[in-house]
Amino acid sequence: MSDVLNIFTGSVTDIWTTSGFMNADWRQIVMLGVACVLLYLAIVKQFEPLLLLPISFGMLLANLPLAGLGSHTEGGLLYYLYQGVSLGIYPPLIFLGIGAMTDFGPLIANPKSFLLGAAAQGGIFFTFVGAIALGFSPQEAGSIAIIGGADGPTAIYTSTTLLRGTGNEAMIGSIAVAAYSYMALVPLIQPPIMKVLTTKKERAVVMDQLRPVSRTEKIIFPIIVTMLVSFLVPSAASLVGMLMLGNLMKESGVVDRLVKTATNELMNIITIFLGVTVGATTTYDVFLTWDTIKIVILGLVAFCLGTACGVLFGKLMYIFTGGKVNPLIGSAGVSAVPMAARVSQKVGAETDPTNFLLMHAMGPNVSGVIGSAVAAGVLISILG
Amino acid sequence: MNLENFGWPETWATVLTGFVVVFLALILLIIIFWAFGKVMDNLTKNSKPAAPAADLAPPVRTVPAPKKAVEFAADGVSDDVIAAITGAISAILAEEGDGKTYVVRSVKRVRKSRGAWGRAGMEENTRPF
Repeated sequence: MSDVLNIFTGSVTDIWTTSGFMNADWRQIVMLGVACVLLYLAIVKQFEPLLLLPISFGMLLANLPLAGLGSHTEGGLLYYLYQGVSLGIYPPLIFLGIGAMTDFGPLIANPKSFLLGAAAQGGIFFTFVGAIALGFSPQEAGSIAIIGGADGPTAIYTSTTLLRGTGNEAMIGSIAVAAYSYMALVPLIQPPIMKVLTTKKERAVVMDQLRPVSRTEKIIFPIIVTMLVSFLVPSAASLVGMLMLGNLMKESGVVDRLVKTATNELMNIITIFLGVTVGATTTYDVFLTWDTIKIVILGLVAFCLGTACGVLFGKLMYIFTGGKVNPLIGSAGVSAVPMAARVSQKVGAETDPTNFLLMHAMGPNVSGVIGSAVAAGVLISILG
Repeated sequence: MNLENFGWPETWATVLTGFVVVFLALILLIIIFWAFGKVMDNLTKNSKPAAPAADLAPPVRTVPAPKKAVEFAADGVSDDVIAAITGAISAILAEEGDGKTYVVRSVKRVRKSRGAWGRAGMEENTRPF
């Protein structure tokens, strides 16, 4: 009987000493707390829940003591799923789905909107300077600066490409978490900047109705954009190419089944894989560092500068068009489709409730997606 | 670019290159789609001279069509329903923009052997890939 008791207590002791309770690092507990806060934001506050929920749960999994579920822990499920991120496969596939859901009609109807999408990329390049000043390497600075593009897949694609082989791949998780967190916070970050930089008169501008766009134009658009952007910046071809393939599938109207798959099943599967594996890169040893804090601050600066550049360029267009352009649509030039366009609509409606800026803001908004992909291509070709 | 000794000149050169390339790409797209929009407008305008004749004709020609269809209304399809169907068809055909005119000659009630939802479900599940 005493033997049984000895074996029993020995077994219980072994289980206890090899359990997470005995082996947890205090930093892992902190990270589990951060993961729970992000889960709260995703579930209760519904901030970008489709991505924030898998990312935060990936963070939780990666910081479970002794579980070995980090994306960089060789041999585990998440390690293999993470290969889709590190090899640059998931972001272009997400872009395929985004393209199949995007209507470029407002942009084709008003091509001048492209300028606002270009101006808003200022956040990326000015933040690059800030990141260099804070002591980051050129590749790290480029990866952090791309947060200003307000485009999650582009940020992940650029950072994985630039940081591959540098030994700093772990930074990708911090960049992705910062990018998606700020995208979720667009309705809070942008309005104060928009109001400070514009006058009431400018915000009240009612823009002319957009011309109708023919189906032919909508079909030719993705083909021309793919060829032109890829000729100019070949490293942007995979992002822009897949975005435009999805859009061509939608506009052609002949492959409804493929569009349905790209926008639903495929997109959802990739979103789960991407979210959970990127979240699982944030192990406590790489996330709880001063670099993460710097990334979070620089990400916010990039977002604010991108918004400001868009609005200021919108003011220029307001002046040069004799008051026909409402500068508020400039802030939608940061990607974040369609939240940024909704913010333009909301801020415009606060000044004049009968003013509908949404479709006008969708032009710069979808232009921002192309613009941030081009900016990513430039950074990759210079720094990669 | 020398990434080993990446100083301030390289940093500002990267910023300048980034701005120039992004603006260049998007300005080229503006020019292409502005020109393309003009071409499309011209094509539409060129087809317009024929259109007025065609546009004037349809009201005259389409008016009898509903009247003809009214005969079917006796079977239970009301004037309102015929007007709604005709309006929907002309809206769809107008969106396609091929400039042709159409006449609705008849409106027939389909067999009620299978409900619309049931039929949509069957088509969805039996359509070849």
